[in-house]
Amino acid sequence: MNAPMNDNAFNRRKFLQSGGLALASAAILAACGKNDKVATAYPRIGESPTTTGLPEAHVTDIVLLRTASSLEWCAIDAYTAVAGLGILPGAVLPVVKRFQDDHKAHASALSEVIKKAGGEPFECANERINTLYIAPAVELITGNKDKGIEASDTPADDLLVLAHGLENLAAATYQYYVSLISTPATRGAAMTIGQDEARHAAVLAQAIIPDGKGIAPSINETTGKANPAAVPGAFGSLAAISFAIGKTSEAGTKTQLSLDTPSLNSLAYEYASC
Amino acid sequence: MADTSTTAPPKQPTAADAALLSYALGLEFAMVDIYARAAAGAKDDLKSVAELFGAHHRAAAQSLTGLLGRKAPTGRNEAFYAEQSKAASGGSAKDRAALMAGLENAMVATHLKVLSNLRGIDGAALVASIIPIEARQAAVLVGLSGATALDDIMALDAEAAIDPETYPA
Repeated sequence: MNAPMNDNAFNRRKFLQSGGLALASAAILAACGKNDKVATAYPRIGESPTTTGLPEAHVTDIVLLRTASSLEWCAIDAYTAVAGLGILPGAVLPVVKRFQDDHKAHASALSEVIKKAGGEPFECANERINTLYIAPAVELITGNKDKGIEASDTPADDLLVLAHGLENLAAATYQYYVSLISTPATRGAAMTIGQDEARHAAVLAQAIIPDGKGIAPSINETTGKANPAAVPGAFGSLAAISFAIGKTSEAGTKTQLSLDTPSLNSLAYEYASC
Repeated sequence: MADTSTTAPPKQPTAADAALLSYALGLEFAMVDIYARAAAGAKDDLKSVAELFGAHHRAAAQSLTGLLGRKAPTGRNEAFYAEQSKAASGGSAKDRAALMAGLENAMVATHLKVLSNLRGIDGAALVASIIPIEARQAAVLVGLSGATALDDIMALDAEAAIDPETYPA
């Protein structure tokens, strides 16, 4: 005697039935779609707008140099803004003016190198660096009532700390790009500028911590964080650049900010223009 | 014309790179010893600065040695040391700071020249990490020499690069 058939078993009859249903469904869908514009597409409700993808972009020497140029313009604009705030003591203003002139000369030199390499110079600030780093830092110093940010209680010192951070960022960017740039002469041109930025940072560190105490690395006893140093180590660092600015909290600390060298999402690609 | 380079630069130093890096290494060894002389005769700020900066040159020499491996020279550039070391231990603190600032600037110019001729990425990246520190050291020493003009602090003379013909390895 045959064993009773299990109701749940997927027998041959059921297989043929379901297969037949699938074929019939496919035929009906195909017939419905014959006069439709999207006959071969999946059924959907409404029309989706067409989108344009970003152009294909490669990280070339020209892109790196354009990005470095955009950083120089960030510094030029930042020094203009800093000088315009009227916060810095008069003795510091010639330093600001000199450093800004240096950044203008760097930008000009980079434009020449870019042109020589067959590229289009990028002569405006890096929007992403401005949005992510510089604008929030300036707000911490000057305050922003709409955002509930109180102004710093030591704005002049904070402006110097910000300038020191930006100079370190520029120096680190050139150093980092050496490992990405393909031609030796271009690497040398990049670091000729990079060493200038390092000197700027050294001057600012000694202005922030004077009397020879700002030369070597030291630790802020209140916060436990590293103080600005003219010569912070034996090698140029590529680590994130950290500094504290803004209104001092009850605990004696300020808001900690961190800057990273421009990477893939903040490069001045060749399709980008000012 | 866009960048059409299709050949990636080598990672390791080439034979020509090794010669350039070896020359730079001999100078770094010399700077370690020059700073030791400067520190021995100095007091206070200049002494601690000379010790710190000498240690940085030693770190640079060690890293260059690590990169070059067995090919690395083990001694300083004698001609360079002989000419510069006497002045490093004499004169006033400001004179010595001015001398060391000049040497640091010469080292920066030399490393930039080396970097502009290196093909390998590893050597280029290492030299690029040494340059900003020696530039910072030059800026500090210019200040310690009593000069306050930013023109002096920022001054870098490409012609000051140390020449293998004047100071053979």
